[in-house]
Amino acid sequence: MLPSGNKRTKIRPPRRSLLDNAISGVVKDHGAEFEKSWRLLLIAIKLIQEKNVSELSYEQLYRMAYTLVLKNYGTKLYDNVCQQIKQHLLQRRLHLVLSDMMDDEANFLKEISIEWNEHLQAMKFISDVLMYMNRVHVKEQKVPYIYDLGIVLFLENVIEYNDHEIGHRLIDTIILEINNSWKGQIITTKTYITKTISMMNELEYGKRTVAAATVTADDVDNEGSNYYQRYFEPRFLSVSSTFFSQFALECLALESGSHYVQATSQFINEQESMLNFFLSTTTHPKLMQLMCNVLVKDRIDYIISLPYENHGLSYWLDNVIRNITATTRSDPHYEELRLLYDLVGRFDPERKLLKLRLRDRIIEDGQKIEQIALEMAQNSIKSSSFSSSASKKSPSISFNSSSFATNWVNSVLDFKNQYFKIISRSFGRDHTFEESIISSMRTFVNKNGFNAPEILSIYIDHCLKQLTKGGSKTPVDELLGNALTFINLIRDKDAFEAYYANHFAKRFLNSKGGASRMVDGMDIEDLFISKVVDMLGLSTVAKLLKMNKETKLSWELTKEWKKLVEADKDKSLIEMELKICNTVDWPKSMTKDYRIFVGDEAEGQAPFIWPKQLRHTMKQFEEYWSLGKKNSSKKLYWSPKFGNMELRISYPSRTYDISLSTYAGIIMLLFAPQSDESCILPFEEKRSYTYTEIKGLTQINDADLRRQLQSIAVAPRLRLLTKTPMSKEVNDLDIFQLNEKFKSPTTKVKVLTVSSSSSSSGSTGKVTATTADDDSLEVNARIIEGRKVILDAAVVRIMKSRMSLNHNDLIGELLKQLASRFQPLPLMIKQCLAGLIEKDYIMRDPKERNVYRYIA
Amino acid sequence: MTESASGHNDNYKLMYEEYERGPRKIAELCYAARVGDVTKAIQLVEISGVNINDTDEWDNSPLFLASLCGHYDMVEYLLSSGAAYDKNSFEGARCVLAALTPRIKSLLINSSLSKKFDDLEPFTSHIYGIYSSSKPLFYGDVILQIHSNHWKQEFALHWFIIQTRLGFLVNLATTNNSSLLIIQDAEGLESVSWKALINYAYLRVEDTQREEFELILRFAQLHHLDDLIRDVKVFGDIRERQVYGKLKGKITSKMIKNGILDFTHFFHSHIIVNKLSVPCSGTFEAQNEENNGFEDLEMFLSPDCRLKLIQCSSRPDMIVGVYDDGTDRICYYPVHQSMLARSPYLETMFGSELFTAKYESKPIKTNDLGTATIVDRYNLQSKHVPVVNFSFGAGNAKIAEIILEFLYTCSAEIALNVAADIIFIAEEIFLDKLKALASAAIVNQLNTMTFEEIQSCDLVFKYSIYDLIRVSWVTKCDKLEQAITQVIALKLDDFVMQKNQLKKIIIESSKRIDNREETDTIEFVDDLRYYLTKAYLEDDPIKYETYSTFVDEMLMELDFKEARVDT
Repeated sequence: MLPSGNKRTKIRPPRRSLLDNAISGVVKDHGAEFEKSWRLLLIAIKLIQEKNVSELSYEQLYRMAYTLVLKNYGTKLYDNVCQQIKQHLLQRRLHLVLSDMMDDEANFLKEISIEWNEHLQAMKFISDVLMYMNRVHVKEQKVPYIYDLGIVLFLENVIEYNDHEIGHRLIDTIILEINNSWKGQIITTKTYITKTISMMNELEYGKRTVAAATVTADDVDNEGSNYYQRYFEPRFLSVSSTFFSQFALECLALESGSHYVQATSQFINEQESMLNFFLSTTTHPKLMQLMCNVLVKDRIDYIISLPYENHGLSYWLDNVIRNITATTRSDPHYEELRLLYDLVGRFDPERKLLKLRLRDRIIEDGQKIEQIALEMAQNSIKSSSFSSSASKKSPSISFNSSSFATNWVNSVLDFKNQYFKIISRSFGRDHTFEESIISSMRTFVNKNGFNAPEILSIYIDHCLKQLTKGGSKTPVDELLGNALTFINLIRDKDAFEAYYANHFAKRFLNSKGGASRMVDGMDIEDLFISKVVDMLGLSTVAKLLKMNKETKLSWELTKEWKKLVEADKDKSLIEMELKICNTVDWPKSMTKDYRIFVGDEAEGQAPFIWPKQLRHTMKQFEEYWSLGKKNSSKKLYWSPKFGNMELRISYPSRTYDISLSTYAGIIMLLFAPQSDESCILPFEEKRSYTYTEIKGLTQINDADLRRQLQSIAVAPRLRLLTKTPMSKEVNDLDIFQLNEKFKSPTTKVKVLTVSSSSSSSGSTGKVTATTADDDSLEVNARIIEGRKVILDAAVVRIMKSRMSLNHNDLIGELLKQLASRFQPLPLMIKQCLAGLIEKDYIMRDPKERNVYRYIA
Repeated sequence: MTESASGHNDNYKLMYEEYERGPRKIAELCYAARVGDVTKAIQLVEISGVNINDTDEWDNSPLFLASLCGHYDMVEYLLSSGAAYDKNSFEGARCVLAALTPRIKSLLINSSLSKKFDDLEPFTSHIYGIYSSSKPLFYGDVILQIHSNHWKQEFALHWFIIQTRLGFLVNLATTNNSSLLIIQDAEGLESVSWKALINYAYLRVEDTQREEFELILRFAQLHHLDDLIRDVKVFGDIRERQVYGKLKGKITSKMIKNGILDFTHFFHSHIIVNKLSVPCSGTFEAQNEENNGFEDLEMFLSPDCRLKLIQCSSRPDMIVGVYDDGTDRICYYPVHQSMLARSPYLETMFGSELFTAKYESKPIKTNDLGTATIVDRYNLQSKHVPVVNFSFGAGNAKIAEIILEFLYTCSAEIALNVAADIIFIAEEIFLDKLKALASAAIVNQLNTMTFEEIQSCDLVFKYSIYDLIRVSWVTKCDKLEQAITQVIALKLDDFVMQKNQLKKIIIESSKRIDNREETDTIEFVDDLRYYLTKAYLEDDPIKYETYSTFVDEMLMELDFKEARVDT
């Protein structure tokens, strides 16, 4: 509309007029002015909502909105825009409700997400146009931004309208689709589900709080800040819960633990990845937790505890115990165990339940090993006795036989290794399970009435002997490894040490020179002791170390003595292998009676009579030892109980080198020429002694003497002496003479002392059996003695640092300190405390009986 | 060994300096403030780098002490050197209350408005953003290739920035076509230094090390680049590392000021010079009565003219059109989208599909390395270059030019007769700083005017003093309102004669609060009383009483039951 004459004043914006409405009181013509601009803006907004923006000019629209706000029409403009959006949305809602789409899930979801996207797009445009209002009016009036207003309006007028008509429909549809996918159907609506779910997330309630007057208190409570959290999530979780329970029941219907873990694992793994795709990050963990609770946590213990027939834990682990005796091995059910491990980990990362149930299994199965080992030992003896002798009486195996010990230790180790294999194959190399299994095994290994330390020591003794004999096929390393692993399972380490010391001493005393300990160039005793030191610490095995040191000193001495003998011009000295043991360090069972051989007049005990052939050498050595080796402060005792002797005896048939026990040698020496001058040969002399005479001449005690005489006069094939009358029993009046007819295929002859177990008579058998038990009892006594000392020391140490302590705390502290060595029994602690009170180390607090005080 | 020992020594030295500069130096500055030794203060602040806003051990700031002891010159110097003064803070109030003379008092009170607008940070970071941002809006339009014996480097830059800041590159370049500059054998400058040089061009200098500037200086000297030498020399000259550290802030700000001069130069010699003005004859028809003063100016630009603009020396990617009613012509300016985007309004517009849907998106190309994307100028046609209607500036090319200048340079000479209009436009397109500049121009002028001049101030500003108050209300320009109120308070002797106008303003001010309660105060009256109290309560209590009574009278006549606030 151009005025004529090219004058277009109109084009200039009447900037001054912007002041007209600066103050609302002075408004003139205000309705008309607003209506004029609003009409244009309304057309623009409608065009935007119809996605038809090509004709619009941003500058123009912005300017109109700016002008209106500047002229104080901000509130009116805001309300009008709000109204228009609302009307538009109600129209769209009607379109959604009336269209056929409502019947088709896929289309319904698609339509909603399209509506939502278009609405957001339109709101972005509108928001850009109304930028000035956003910046000025919205801030002053504290109303929501136009864009947020659009979201609130969509929520109110589409989703929630008519009592959530569309909202509920949307939720139902999505849940139905997800449920279908759980049931294994393939759904085509995944993308729309994702889109509508993200829409529900964006429909935030918080934005309404600054908005309309419709705000109520419950809008801002903690039910959830958006539509998704407030309506979808609770509904979804409750439907899911029902579904999962149903699923769990279906899985249980087969009554098979294996089936259950397989089915649920597969289901959970599938859902985990799929749901991640749809659900908001807040729901996903909740749903997974729900799933785990319903499918795993609530039912897994039932599954684990299912009996063997129903494939529970006992079924999956059964092969472990079977494998110990089986000739062909079969794996335990690694796959099921792995699934179980994963499932349990879903609700408890530490998997306490699984550890507990595993412990029950291990203890139950572990106790069976005892019986298994016993049977194995019996079988091996049976099979050997079948082949060798006709003896058919069932051999009885005691727990401290080496055969049982070997079988038991090996079985237990096998058992352990199989479990460790399960850890690496099924339990993801979880180290916490290693601890748990070891601790469970400790329980059955150390159970009451079963002397594991001794058995282990017997096992090691057996193995070491085998090794030194070269008869063992097990390599040293493996044996060492096995033994050390097993020490770990032993609770009372001090007991083990005591038994081990005992066996060590026996091995030493029965050995012939240091070379006998060498296997593959290594001193295996050394090797073993050093490993044990590594494991148990220096203080625990101090005695063992000292003993080992003395063995070495003895070898040195032997070598030196040998040189001395060779240098001796008279040739009066006899070569000796010397084994000198300090009575303090060596086991009491060995050393307790070292004094009796010098005799005890008070007890009427006659001293042991050494043969005169030896006396010179013994005296020379004593001098050499105490003076030459500066041992004058120590006293040397000779013990004929141990050791061997080598004699060269010229029988009529030929001359033999005979190796026999010290006692037997001494007996034989009675029949030797009494002096060098005598030229009468023993066989010509035909010297004979009765049993009583021999006893008088040697002062060997009865039990030993009978045994020795049996060895050299009764045992078949190696009869160095003849006995009249010839019978198994040795009686006081029996007469012994050199056996002129003695013959042996080799010139070297070794006489074995008759072992106690194969002693013929019942009475002697009993005697020897009890000596073996005595041995064990003595070790036990020694252990208990040792423990008392350690316990006393520990109590005093603790009390000295704490000065006063109540009973329970003291016990706790004690158990903690002694855990690496042994578990003190309550009775023992009580006795120890009583002893210390008596000795005035500690006292009870006069006021509180429960509290002990240290007496400085 | 020796190295670590000397390192330790350095540390010690630094600590010692820190100590030197610390309590002792501030004590010296405070002493200088008390005795009024401006020379000493300059030495301490500029050379020793004492923090001007530190306090001594009794919490006294130098400004407070100078004000207390009545050294006008000292106060003036401290304020100009950046001493913090905010009348609303305790420290600020303390300075004013303690001021020895009214002259110092008014200097302090006015300082917040007369303070020079030197916070250039938003501008420089926008310029650097043009370079560093990867938004399509900020795509460059030229690739700079540097070849050396050992390396080759490419930068995606903006032609207009090169023209503004690195014009010498065009002469150095061996190849120079519409979108590629190749520098062969970049003698004397390493790769890192090129980066520093580019940063310098985009006004990012504070991160660059002095050593880099030395290299750049050497390079500039080698090629006789006088402009560059002048700019960089301030840096390169300073050999002493410690002095460099202290003066760095001042040097960088000087560099940036020089840089802004470059932008001013570019604006005038490439944009204003190239503007085209077209008479609105013949084809010009009003679109629609309801267009609200809005015209589509694109249609008046002939294709030839449009092409001419696009190919002009500023290498624009956008054309701004403005109708100028003084000459009855339409002016077109070849401009750059990235600079216009300094206005959040324009940035939103450029990003909105309502705007972009009308033009084809610009042709782009990517360099061989795939590291940079630029606008392909060679294929740039009219249909790619939008013509933006500066509707807010419509009617006056001068206003449009002021706004453009501000967008390009962050400063503008604001003519008084358009200052108020500029305030409206700045509000419309979200340029708060321009708004502040315009209102500062008005206030500075008002402060120098007599009552008679003020009475006819619509001859100067096109708005009466009362309308100016209304402008400040509408545009939320609080400082302007307070300053005008102060002018009225100080000249109330004369304004008594305009009681009716004052009463009208009081009514309007009271109505600015929706749903006002009786206890609500009237902002204008509050401010008036405040300035009366300040000016007269102590110096001239009788006058104060008279004026207060006058204000009360007005309120009585208007039937406002406002409780008198006793001070």
